[in-house]
Amino acid sequence: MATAQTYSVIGQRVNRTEGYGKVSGETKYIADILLVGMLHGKILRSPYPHARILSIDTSKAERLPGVRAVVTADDTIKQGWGAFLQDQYPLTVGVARYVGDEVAAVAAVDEATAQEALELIDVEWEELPAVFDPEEAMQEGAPLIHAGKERNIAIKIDVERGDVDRAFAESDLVVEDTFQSMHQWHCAIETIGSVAEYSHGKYTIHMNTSTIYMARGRIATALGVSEADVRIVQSGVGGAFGGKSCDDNNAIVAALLAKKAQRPVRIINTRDEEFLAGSRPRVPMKIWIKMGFMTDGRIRAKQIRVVADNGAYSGKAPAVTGVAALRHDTAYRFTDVKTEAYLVYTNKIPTGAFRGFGNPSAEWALEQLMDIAADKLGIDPIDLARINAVEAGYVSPHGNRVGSCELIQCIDKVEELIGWKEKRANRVPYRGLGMGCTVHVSGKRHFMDYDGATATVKVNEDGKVYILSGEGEGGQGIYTVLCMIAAEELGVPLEEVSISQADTDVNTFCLGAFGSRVTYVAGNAVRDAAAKARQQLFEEASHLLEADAEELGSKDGRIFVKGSESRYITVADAARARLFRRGGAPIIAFGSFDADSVMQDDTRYGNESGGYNFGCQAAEVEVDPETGQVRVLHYASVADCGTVINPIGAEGQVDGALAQGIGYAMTEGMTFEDGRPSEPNFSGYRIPSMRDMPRKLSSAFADSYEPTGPFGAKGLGELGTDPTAAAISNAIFDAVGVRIKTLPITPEKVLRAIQEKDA
Amino acid sequence: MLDFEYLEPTTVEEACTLLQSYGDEAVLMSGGAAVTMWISQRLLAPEAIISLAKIPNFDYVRFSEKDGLTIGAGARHRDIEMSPLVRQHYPLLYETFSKVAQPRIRYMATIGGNLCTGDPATDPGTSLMALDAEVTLTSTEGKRVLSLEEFFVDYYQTALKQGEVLTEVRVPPPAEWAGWSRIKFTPRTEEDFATVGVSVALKVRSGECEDIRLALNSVAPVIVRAHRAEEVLRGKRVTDELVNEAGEVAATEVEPTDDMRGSADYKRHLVKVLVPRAMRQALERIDG
Repeated sequence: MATAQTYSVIGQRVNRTEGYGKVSGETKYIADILLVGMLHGKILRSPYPHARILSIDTSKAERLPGVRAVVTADDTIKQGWGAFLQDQYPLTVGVARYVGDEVAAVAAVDEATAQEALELIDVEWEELPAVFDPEEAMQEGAPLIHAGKERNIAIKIDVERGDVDRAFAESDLVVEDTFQSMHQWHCAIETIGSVAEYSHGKYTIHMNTSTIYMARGRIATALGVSEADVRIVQSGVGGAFGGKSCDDNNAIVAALLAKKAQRPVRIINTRDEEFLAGSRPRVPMKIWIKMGFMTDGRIRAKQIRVVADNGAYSGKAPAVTGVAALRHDTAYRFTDVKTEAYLVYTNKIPTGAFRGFGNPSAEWALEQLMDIAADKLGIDPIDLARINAVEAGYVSPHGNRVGSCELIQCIDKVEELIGWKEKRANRVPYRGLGMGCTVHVSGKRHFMDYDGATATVKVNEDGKVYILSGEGEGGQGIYTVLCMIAAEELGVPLEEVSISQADTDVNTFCLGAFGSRVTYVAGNAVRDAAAKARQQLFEEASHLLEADAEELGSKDGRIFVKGSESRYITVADAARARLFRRGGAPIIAFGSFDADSVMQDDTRYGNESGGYNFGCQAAEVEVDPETGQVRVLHYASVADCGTVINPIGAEGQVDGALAQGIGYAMTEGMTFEDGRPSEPNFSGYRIPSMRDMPRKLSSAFADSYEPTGPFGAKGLGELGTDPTAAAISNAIFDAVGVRIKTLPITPEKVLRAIQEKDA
Repeated sequence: MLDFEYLEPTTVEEACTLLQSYGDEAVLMSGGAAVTMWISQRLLAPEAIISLAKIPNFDYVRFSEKDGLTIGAGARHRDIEMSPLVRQHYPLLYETFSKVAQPRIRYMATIGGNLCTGDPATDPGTSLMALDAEVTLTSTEGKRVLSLEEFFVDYYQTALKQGEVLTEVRVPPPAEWAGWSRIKFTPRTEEDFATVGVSVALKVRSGECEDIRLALNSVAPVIVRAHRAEEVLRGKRVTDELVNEAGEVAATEVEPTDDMRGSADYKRHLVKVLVPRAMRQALERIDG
């Protein structure tokens, strides 16, 4: 259970470290970076979902006044790249595989000239048969999208733990159903962009990525150079949500143009490009799921079959599919499970990482099947969740070892916040309640069998503290969190701490922001660095204060002898004393952390993360039976993220996650015409605004402490999106007795279901 | 390459003359909400943009008992929404304008610009039609006045002739015994265009419907008036059955199409549901 401690900085409601720059307009986003001689790049994209390039003639474009460079695949090493499968090329080599695939690019003195030059590039195409539906793509004889990938299957997961057939035979109730999830775009306010420079064999790329070192590795591979020849500098990042984790070609194409033109080149995606070929949308999945229960509600067996839409290239969808197939077995107690998952190529935009990373799709299916089972078992759904919820010490069938866990507390709090019992006892026609639970990681061990971070903390001569970290700020508030952790550990006021820009040449290695990892993993690295820096300060102070270092404490920028706090020096005194003497040294310390997780083996057995975070949500909806319109009247969301470092930031994460969850559930969704998004803009693709949020929103955090986390903290950013769609669908069932199984939940679908039920 | 002349006439006459001389090569711009979007989406590449922004006294919102409401074509949606005269005498217009997109758009977009796009998904024309508004079109030849039904010709097509500028919108004085309702059905997000929009204004005395005007948006190539549905109630004693029947009849007067906001069938169903709802709400608003 949680340990109460008194902190001076942790848990305070503080403004963002980088907030002033953002609200005053001083933060430099990609569009604010203007380098001397900078050119503007534009990308020619495939108009066809699947087509072979017979010839490309760029001569007319090259002759257009103002054009400085034109590149095609011939300017590349024709090397595939990608986070897990190296199947994507910077510029189309031979065959384009989706509408939006990069074919050629131009750098010119201004955007209009670059755009005009694109229209002068003659491409002779041979259209090829295309396939858009993953299940069709898996059929024998379907058009093959990548040579050697039989039946278009990019990856397959086939895992059984225990004896599923026997477990189903022993179950008192078996339920099964099929659910379809959908693409969802990140819709960050800033689109993907980069400014690339090339000089003496080295590329410097300013980009709005949330993972600078991962970007460096992938870009180096695609360009065929050493990682040391690529420097990534993070600009301001106008929202990321997983969509800026470098799975697209924007920066690589800018780098190719910069080298050829010998001038800096900027490419910023237009909003259409962002939908067509920018951030990689959430992986749509068709999920068949079957579960066995005992009459008392205990889960006995689970079998799941996932068919996931990879799109034309792989990006992070292989890992997303793995999460959808296995992760939920860490939220409820499972023993006998079987999972079969296919990630299938189609001639559409590649899919990938988006807040939730496979969980929202899996939970759309599983949390609805739990609701179906509760109905058949005659058990209140919230009790069914409680009966099966995991607790600290649980080990999932796939090896995930749960440390701190307050899922039951989350369920209890949600029940109270939404008034579950009273509302179920006093029913109002057409109103209903639904809920769902989730589990997420605090960082995940998959890249290079490393789940760690490094950081450096230095204390300047004036006592100010500077953190060097390459994790970067993606808008989620990590700079503030890391500064708070350093301030707490060092005993200095938060205002005395600042943090570096993320730059691969300046900082030491970091994985960046994904997998809800930075508070936990980077927070531990920063705390380690700060503790070592404090030790250096105390060594110095022990001479000045004539006390042992062990007797010293620090707070508010003062180092004092514990018990007689009037005997103190300032942090600045100690820093100066250490530096300004013969043989002196600066206060600087290096910190490191690698989570106690275990890489999954070939059978996907391992321990994904050093800390698991949990959540429970519930929705109260009202359905208009004549139109099918659903209004979310009240929403409750409770998270177990360990210690809350910055409550303002944490609350923002919960609200923002819910907005994206509601968008996923009810307002978003893209139709495709021959593989092309039919409305690649915000008129067609509706993300929720303030007015679309629930009439009432209640959020809270479990009283929780993760012993391996910095001051007890775990991850938080993603779990709030995971069960939202299922919770709303379950509430609709409770209100009007119909179940929607395909996303998004449109009023038309709800109305049709009501009409069919009444017929 | 985006290259156009930007012309800023300071009188309506000058604007008309410019429009006449440039013909199809020029586009008229008022608030710019639609024109700038079309240009950025490369749907439009005009040789000249003739801006109406510099014409003085083009954005008035006036009211008199005799003439009713007169609105200069350059009045922004926000001007109309925030006018105390509109709020007092034409609550239907207040309700309608306050739900168009969001304030950022309403501060830019003008009523003249809105009507001249001829976009059947927008709201203002619907409520103006329900209030029997008329528009004044001005050219170097003179002026003519059309009802909105005459003005909206087809999908994105209006009765504007070459060289004509919509200069004024006039709404007759409010009737006695009048009730009104506006239902903008936006199930995806509140700021979306209507899936179906219904505006109704009616006059009922001693239980008898003396007059009624029912207009709908987002359900046909133009904003439509549902004449036959009106006839179901006109001159009759209003009953629940007749109100429902009016909904059924209105559904036969629309021609919705499938789009991302719903199928044609669904929109037709919504007309059946929302028209009676709007009528009931209007009836409840009648005093006495």
